[in-house]
Amino acid sequence: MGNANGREDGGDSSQSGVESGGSSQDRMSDQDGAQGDELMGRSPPPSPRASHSPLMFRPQMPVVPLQRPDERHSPSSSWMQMTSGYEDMYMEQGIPTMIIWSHGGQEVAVEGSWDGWMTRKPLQRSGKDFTILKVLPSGVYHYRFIVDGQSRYSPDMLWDQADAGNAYNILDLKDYVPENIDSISGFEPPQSPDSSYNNSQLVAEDYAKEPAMVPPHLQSTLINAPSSHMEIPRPYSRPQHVVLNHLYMHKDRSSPSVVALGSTNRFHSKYVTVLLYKSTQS
Amino acid sequence: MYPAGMDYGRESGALLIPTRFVWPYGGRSVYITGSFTGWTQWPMTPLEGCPTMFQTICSLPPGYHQYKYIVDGEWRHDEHQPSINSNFGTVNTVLLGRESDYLSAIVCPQMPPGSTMDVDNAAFQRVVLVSDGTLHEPFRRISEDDLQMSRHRIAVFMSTHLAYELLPESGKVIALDVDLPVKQAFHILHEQGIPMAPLWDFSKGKFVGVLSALDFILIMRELGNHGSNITEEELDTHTISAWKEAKTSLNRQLTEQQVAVSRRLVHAGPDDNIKEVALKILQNGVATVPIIHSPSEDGSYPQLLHLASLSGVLKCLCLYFRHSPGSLPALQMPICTIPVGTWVPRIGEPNVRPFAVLRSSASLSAALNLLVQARVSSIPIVDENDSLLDVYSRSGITALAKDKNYVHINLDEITIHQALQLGEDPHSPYENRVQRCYMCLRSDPLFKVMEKLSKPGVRRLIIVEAGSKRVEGIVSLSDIFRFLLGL
Repeated sequence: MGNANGREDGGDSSQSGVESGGSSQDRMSDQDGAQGDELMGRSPPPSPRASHSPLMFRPQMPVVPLQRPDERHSPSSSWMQMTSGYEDMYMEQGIPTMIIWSHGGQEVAVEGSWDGWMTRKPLQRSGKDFTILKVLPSGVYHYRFIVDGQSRYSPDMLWDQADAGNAYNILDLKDYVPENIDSISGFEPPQSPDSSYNNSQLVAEDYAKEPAMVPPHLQSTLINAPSSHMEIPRPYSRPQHVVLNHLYMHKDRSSPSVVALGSTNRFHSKYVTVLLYKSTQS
Repeated sequence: MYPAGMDYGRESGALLIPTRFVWPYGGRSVYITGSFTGWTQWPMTPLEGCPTMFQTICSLPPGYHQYKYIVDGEWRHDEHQPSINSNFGTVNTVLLGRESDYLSAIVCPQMPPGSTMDVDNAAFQRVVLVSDGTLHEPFRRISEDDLQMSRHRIAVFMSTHLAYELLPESGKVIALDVDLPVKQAFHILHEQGIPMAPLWDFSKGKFVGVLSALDFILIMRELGNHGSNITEEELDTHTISAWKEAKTSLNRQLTEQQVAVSRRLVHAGPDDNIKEVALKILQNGVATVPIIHSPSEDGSYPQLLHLASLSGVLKCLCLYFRHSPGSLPALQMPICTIPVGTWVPRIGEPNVRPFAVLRSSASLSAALNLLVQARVSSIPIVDENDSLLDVYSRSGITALAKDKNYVHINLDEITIHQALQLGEDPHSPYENRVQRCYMCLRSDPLFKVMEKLSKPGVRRLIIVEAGSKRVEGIVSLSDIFRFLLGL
């Protein structure tokens, strides 16, 4: 398609302060500066550090009181609160899931390892099935049904048997819904438009013209998403299919001997964004 | 005997050895006093579950020390420990070897005692082999059956799940051209916030190695060395491949104490099971293993998918077993009862693996030397009261790339405290310290330790004494996996 012109509307909002020198918007033509300025009517985005107001109240992170030497051995568990408060910030989101019992009975309840088998929750009857909706963090759980006072498991769902002889059902909750690739292959591509395919090769005059516009969907690449901070990787959202298998190139003015190549590809049901930094010196 | 490049004269006084003192004979209030306390009283804390045993941990410089206990106001000494008569009456003595002995012991821990020609080392071993047989731990030990069953369950789980499960649904991986200048590479590592990256060779069409924080540390030491091969200007053009060549020739010069560096990239495929990935990490002594997929038989057109680490494997394990704790009884045991982690040795215990900490005023070059020579990935930093302040780890070296700090720092003059501050975000220093320094108690059960270690970014936990935050030991991801896999 020849040279495409990358417009900058919305692109610079992905920059985050001083640190991301290497991850600014990809540009494939030289005419970026002037056009960029006239589109940036709004003020530059605030740097992420400035958004941490010093007045922000953080109830989960108490400050450890300074200990005088004579208090050295007084048991103080405030630092334990500090670490557990930090754990709370990592609490996973609950995922709603349905548990179904379809083997009859009058009263059906369920108990499981999500709370250490402590409580039994009754299921709602809907026709011939009994159902319950639970919201749980991702993980693997064991559970059993109590049907009219009797402890049973459902053989049509995943189940296992402990060594003691009690069988239980297994619920494997993942924290994302894996894509069903088969549903995509059923997509019917539209017919090619009727027209002749006898365009000649590009000549020098064609290159002098202004290049065609890059489709705006291609701006939403994960390459510019901020990477890990202090070794903690960030979870990325699932990329749109439109950005797959495109090669992005970026040359930073501050480091002229390096060019960054990026591409997002699919591997089975998962997506990988690879960023390769190449040296342009021979 | 000592690895080339170390200069012990400069480092004297920087190395501190935490030592545990135990008074097992009961009492209401017990203090310890000695040459290392300036003969002032330091309180000792009773052990949980066993109120007749008091303990404390002091960080002592190597050398000869005298000490005595004050129990309910009375001066007492421990009759089961070595003692001599002195001005203070009978005092207990402890001889901690020279710093050089510690470092050589750390480098080759399998060296049997008495095999060296060094007289002091032999004397030191004799002193500490006096053991204290009357002590018993307040916690019960794990039964062999429980342990075997837990290990078997975990092995089955890890053999049936594939490395593909370690991949996040949408992940990002950074790779570097092997012809990049080393300086550029470290700036990229720092900007992207990653500790290491695989190296791609365009001419060979495959991944040939990884660049990690250890490489940067070695380069910094080379720069600091007089008569080194790399000068500051050359760093601009020195490529990663040239550095790797120099590193292998450097390794060949060192004595046999250094393990030979393998030139082949340790990697795994997405169809390998998790157990093979964990074994590759443990057996090759690496931190991450790239998961590479090759659609063809001969390995051409490799596709980089993910950097697998023990942290990801542990997260997978915890997610699966978190809600069925009954199936793994070994996980309920407190970590002080199972052979996992590196612990501060007690007075009277034979010294299996010495443990070193540093004060925050120690120089950065002492820290880097310790990281390289002892082949550990982090060192706890303690304050004047020997309570835990912070941790300096290998990956912290990439912080020096910020603002090109490595150009104008002198490794010997900058202290660890200043080096840590260089990498910190000035607007939130408190958070940074919390993020670096993860702690646990010796009474914490194994599953709690595993949950903490499975958080991303946590590679090790410092075991501290409740209340005083004195360092008792370190447990790391590889320690846990060696225990779980029975290695």
